Amino acid sequence: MRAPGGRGDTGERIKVSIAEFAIASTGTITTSGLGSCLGVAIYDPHAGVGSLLHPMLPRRNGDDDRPPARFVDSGIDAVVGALGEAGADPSTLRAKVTGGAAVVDFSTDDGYSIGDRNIETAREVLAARGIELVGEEVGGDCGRTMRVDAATGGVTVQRTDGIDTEL
Amino acid sequence: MQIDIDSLETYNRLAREGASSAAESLSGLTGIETHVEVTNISLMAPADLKYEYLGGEFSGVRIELDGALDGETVLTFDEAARETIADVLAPGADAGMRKSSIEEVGNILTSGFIDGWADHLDAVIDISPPTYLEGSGTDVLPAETADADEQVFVFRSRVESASGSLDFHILLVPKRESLVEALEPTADDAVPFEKLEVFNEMTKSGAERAADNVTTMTGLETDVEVNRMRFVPVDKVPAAVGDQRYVGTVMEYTGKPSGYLVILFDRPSAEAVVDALVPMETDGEWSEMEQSAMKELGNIMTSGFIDGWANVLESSIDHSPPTFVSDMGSSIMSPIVGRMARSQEHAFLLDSMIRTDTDGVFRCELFALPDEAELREVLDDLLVERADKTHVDPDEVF
Repeated sequence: MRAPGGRGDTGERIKVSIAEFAIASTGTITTSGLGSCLGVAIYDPHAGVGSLLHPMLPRRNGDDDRPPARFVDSGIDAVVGALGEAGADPSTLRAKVTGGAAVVDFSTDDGYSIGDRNIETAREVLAARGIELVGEEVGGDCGRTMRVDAATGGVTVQRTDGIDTEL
Repeated sequence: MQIDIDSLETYNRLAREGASSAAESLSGLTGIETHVEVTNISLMAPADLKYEYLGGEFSGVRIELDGALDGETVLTFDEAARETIADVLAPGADAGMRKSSIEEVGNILTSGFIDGWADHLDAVIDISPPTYLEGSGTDVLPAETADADEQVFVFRSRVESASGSLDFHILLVPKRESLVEALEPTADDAVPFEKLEVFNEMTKSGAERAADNVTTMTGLETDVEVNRMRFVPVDKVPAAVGDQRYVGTVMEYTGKPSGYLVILFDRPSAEAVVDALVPMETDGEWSEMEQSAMKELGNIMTSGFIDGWANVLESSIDHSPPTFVSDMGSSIMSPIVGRMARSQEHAFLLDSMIRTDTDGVFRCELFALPDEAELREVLDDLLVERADKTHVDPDEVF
């Protein structure tokens, strides 16, 4: 089983694309090509279950025809629901966030890019859901690849400028 | 012959579901997680199918389809996948048994892929016994379509595993009449097949002019090698471009249609063109001067590309100054697609590849992403007889 809403149980690496998420209790969940998109890891270290969400836009704005994992707000809600079903305790969830870069400098953004809006929305939504944001490596103008250790919530972020960060 | 664009969405979904079912079967057989990375429908000249098989050794199966859908399906495993499958299903076996395991797995996966189509059409699709395929690049091309001179729709899915050990491609190439019949256009806004072909040809001549402009500016010989129109779910555009590192420019254009043009060079090619324009030593970073040389090149290529469209469409299309980009292809596409996804679920991705004939050093891809609704309007208004007007005729202007 796999994203969206799938659960990996083979202990292998699971790859997540844009507008998808996956949850797993073993192995690694990865996503690449994070530009203005976010990589959001939400996990319960006590239950040993984690997730990776790759949303593209900030808010779904009630448009229920659109895939939930495309948006930061509805994506987080979908992941939290799936984590609960997988045995995570919703009250002890933690999150780590990366991405939200301005890889393309659109002059029409007036200095406030899709990436900036995605980051801001993730902070707001996580706070509103009572999920502690324990690490972030966001913004800038580089693409990123994210790896999440499903059981521990350990995150590695590789930036295309060669800088790697552990969260 | 009319094509109902909305039904392309249905067929894209069918191809994706078929590929998912094949991916699940393969995961079930091998215990390795696989994932449909991208599914799209391309309109292309059959000869351009070779683009799907650039580099590497492939093996797999071909089956011929008859009945409700007439054409062929080709499923190919790359070399690593072939080894993985043989190691899992026929460990330590001789070459013959290893080949049989590929054939058997290929047969199971293609049957699963086709079943969904038969269910949707509520009709029988007859499939031939599988023919084993093995070879490099074009050796595994679909046989019947390879020499046809009219454009064909190609349904293509790329399935990947996170470790890269179990990747495969599945291609469905229906015969043209059979597909049009199966698509059964009912909507009022169906588009004649010929208009899509004309638009695709316009894009190719646009790319050719962009390539000529590169040659004029840099002295590097260039040629447009591949050109295709892909119809792809908007979320999947970044995956369609891939994670390879690129250097290039992004332009936003306004008019009818509006959209984005992304010109991406692989790194050695970017260095080659910039060296030709600004011959000076650099330390690997892209200096201001090199970035502005790349932007100037982007400007000139874009003008060549867009002017042809505007001339055939009899509309005015302006473009923004180019923005320099250097990153993973998928990361570059993500903010563009983010903007487009506010108003559309599917994208027309017009993709042309410019290469050199000589040593293969030079490689550049042009990705045009017109606004979907505006492109439909433009196609509706398109006069097929203006198709050859991609060059400006001075007599018409003055």
